[in-house]
Amino acid sequence: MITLADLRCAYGDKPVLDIARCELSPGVHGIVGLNGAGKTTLLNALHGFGRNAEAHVLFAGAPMDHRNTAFQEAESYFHPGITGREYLELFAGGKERSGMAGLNELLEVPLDALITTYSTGMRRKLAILGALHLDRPVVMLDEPMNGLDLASVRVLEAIIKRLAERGRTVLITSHVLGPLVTMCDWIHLLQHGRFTRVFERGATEGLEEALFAELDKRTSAAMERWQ
Amino acid sequence: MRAPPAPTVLLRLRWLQLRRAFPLYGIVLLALGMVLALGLMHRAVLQDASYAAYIAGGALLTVWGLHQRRPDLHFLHRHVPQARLAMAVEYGVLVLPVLVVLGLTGAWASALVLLAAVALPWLPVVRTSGVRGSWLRRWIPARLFEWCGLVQGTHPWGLLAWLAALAFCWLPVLPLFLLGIVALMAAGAQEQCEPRAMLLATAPDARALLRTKVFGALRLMLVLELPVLFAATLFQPDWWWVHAGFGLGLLTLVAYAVVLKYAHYQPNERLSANGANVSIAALFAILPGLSLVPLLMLLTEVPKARANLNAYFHDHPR
Repeated sequence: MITLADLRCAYGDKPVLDIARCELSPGVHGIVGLNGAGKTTLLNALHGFGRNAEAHVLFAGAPMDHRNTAFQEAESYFHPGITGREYLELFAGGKERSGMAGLNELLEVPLDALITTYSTGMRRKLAILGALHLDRPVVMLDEPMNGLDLASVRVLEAIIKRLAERGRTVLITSHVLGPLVTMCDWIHLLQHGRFTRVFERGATEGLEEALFAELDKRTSAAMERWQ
Repeated sequence: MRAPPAPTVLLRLRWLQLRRAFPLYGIVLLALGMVLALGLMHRAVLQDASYAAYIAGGALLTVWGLHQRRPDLHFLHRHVPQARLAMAVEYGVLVLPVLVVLGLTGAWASALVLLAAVALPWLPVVRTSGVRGSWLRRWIPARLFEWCGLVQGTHPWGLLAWLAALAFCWLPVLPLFLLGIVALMAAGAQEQCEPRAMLLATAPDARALLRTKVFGALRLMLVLELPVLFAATLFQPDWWWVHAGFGLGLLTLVAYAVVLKYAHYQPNERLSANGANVSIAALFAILPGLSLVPLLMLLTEVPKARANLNAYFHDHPR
């Protein structure tokens, strides 16, 4: 169980995140919100960065930071001159993770090639594999479906399902609602740095309307002015 | 309808590239340089006829290497009619000056070997993964990925410099100079910062990361240094203290480069400015009596590196 209390983040004077209290049970949590809603800031804060001093971020009652979370960041950067296999060996910490070779094969990442030769999708898949190799109780994936083909999204869905079955807490941010609805046990709507609604699996009617309600109003007003 | 390009299309392309790359006087100087090199070859073969075989073999191997690595091979096969013929003409013109020189010296047997260059486009090309020194990289621990980057960036020249240092260990200064080059290469590889995810995957905290990186780098440097310095000391026993001091200086230099990287670490950045500091440290490392300066530089950077890394490893409230 992840417990958040008094979590506030700001960039300069601009508040980005303001969560008074929130509890996230083990399972798959989707976090949706428009650009600037605070999704990446939230994951960064859970990873241990950019929090306010008063914030309480706990996992199973213990402080939560990068030591108990695996975070696949939205921007995929890698050290130049290394191969995919060398990258994953670093994340595995020299240990052989059982079954990971099968996942590598399934995602068809050319591990023995230089990462600099990878496509955007391959880089994303490698970053996801890196996070999985860490084998942490909390896995956070920031926009994991960006750049992935349909087959890889399907494999990712299966991986996330398996993680949840193993008792991991998985947090996913995405702009692509379709796969999120099938993958997640809960979808949290993040607006202006606050959780405004939670949709449970099978009860996601109104998610799209809630997400775009404010935008639709502003769009209509802008269109009227434009005419 | 446009006529298909003649087999000389690649030659014309090279000429255009040459015209764009150099001003006219540059091309003239290049031509003069080539004439000079050919003149030297001519003289060498006249002095010792056995050089002809080496020159022919070397020229043929060079063209073979060019063919195996040419980046436009796929493009040529796809878009240029008679691509193989065009490449054969290009290779023929490349080896022609050497062939003429060998012919002028009467080394016809060696000259005829060069004709094989025009057959190269019909030989299969072995496509590699682009990963250099795969067998060397297997020995590098995953946490020292900078060294994999070093192998990728410098192979085979770094290895050749080290082998030359070992081969010339009977000479007084050359092996130390070559070892110094290898150490500078290793220090240079520490300029590139890894992304935050890789940093956090390497160690649980700043202290452990610095320990892992510094001692790991020192271990690898020792593996490179010890055989050369030990062999050099066998040939120059009186110089044992020079070799020992030089070896310690290089170890300090590489450790300094590692610590300096983390003192200024920023995810994904290339810390090019660190190169100047490492050069200064290298200079002091080889100046007699001043070899302690890099050590002092290293020690002053350690607290900075810890403080900078703590910002990435520990929760830092804003």
